[in-house]
Amino acid sequence: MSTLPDELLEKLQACDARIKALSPQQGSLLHVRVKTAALKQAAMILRGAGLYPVFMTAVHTDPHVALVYQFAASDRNLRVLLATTADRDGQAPSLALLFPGLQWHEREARDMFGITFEGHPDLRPLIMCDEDRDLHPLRKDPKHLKTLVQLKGDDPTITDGEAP
Amino acid sequence: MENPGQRQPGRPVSGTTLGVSDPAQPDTDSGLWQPLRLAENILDACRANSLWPLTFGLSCCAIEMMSAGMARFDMARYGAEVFRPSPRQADLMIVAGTVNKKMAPVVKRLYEQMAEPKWVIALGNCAVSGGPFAGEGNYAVIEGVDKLIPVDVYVAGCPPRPEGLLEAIFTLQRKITGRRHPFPQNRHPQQEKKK
Repeated sequence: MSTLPDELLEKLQACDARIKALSPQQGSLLHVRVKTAALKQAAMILRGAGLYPVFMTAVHTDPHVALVYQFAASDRNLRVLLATTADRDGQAPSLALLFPGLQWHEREARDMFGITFEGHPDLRPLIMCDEDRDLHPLRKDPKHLKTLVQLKGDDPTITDGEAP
Repeated sequence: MENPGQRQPGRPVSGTTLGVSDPAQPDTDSGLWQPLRLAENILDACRANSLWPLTFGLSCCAIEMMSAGMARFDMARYGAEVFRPSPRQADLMIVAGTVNKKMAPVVKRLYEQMAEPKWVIALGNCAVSGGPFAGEGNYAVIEGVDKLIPVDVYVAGCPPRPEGLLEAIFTLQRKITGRRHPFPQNRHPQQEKKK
């Protein structure tokens, strides 16, 4: 049981991911940022390594909505924070077929942020009522909107002017 | 706080017109209607002392409602302990908690399914006015259950104590029969007179 999974790192780097590895005394935490198109590939790699999704959430940033998935393994002390951004039209690939448990998370993200997950089997509103289908309450006012660099400037996985 | 404005549609206000002889409004139509009045008074006394609430709670105020039903506060002392699982058998709806937009049609349907006569207690600030959720940016909460259904008694508090719910039941009993019932029962008016 190695604390830093080198094999996993190599596989992720092959799909053009920017990685920051944190190795505290117990276990390890990977911050992985991928382009939208490579999200599914990265998730396949994580699934192949025996990781399961813990949660999925989103942050409304300028210019795109950032998506964050956390993965964990039950046999190793390893967590992976997989981040990407939805594209300009608010579209992102769905991971619901890879991990059926993410179906509700993605429906909630659609409710709150208006992201369309391509390939989701059933993208009905989960939390909002049907008449508020097009109301996305967690989208920020433009005056409060910040870029990813403003939010997490010290994170080396983020570069300025990032496009999916 | 009793709501004097909301009346049951098609139903006379039994408390003020039938239950009590009001000296300001002398009884003019005596005779024929007296037996009916008497029957109505008896029925009202029965209704007031066996209020059957509908079993449902919408959020944390429901915990106080459960507490009011349990041994320490014991709503059974006032005849209101028989929480019914079906709206067809209930005559009191205690809206205990936040009514959100998704729940609103269900609350409304449950109210419509209850048989007349029926009463509503809005328990807690959320049911009264939306409470902490009422404000700019509120997208999911109905600001007061009286926007959906008529409310008879409002109980303020976040949450109200069980005594608040008991007081609401006394207020509702006064609204139904026209007088505040001589509770607690160990101080019966007959015994008070003997002293």
